[in-house]
Amino acid sequence: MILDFNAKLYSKRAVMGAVKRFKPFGKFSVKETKKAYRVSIAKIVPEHADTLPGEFSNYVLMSMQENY
Amino acid sequence: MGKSINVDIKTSVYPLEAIYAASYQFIDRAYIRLDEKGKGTIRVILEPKEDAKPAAIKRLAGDFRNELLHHGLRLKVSSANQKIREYVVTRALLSAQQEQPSPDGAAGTASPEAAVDQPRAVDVGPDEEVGPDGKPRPKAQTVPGGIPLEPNQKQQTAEDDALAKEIQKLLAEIDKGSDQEDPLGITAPWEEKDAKKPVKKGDRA
Repeated sequence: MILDFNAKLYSKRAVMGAVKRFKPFGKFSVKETKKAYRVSIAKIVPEHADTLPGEFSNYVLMSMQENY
Repeated sequence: MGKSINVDIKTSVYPLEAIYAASYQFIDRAYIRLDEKGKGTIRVILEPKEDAKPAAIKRLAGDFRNELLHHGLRLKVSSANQKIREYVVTRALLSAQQEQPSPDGAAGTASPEAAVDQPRAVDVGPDEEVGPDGKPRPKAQTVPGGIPLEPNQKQQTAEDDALAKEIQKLLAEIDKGSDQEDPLGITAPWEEKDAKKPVKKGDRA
């Protein structure tokens, strides 16, 4: 599972903060490109497989509220 | 991921802050991601959390657009009223400052600028001072700290004094009223009230 977060719309701090919080639910890796932060999620806990990507995205968005 | 709907928003119409604000409101209903779609356009991707029919997904997008409009207007009004808000806060702080005594007790002194510019040779009355043009003028009322009051500020000071007097009067009335009798027995504890009532047959103990 790969999620791209546009670097103009999301902050690195928000993305990394979300990765830290969601670590127990999967294996995360972040790659920073010019345009986006690419988050790869592997070995997702099965019972959360359906909801994890969406909840992760929402968490990053909510974290932006604190940073904005 | 399930079905989602895209809402494309021009940043020339809605600021980014409004897009964020609208998105936050929908976090409980949908999974939301933002992306750029070309220059000057933000794409909001909404995926309902619960399985939804096409009509419901369309309604979600419509609700989002309404929320966006609400926040866009809110920000616009906030921006338009910014100067008024700052003025009101400044006036409130100035009013509070007027109540505090000046450190040197020199209330009503002339502004520093007038003192610097004042030529000593000009003859002025007790209620006059020398203006920046060198001519006598009525002495400017000031707040402690030497800041001269504007005409509307002088009125505000008088209004504040009147208000303070009224508050004192009301407080005195309240204090006076606390000594009066209690005709309806509101302040009497229930034990006293019950002790006075006769016990009837069938009443609970």
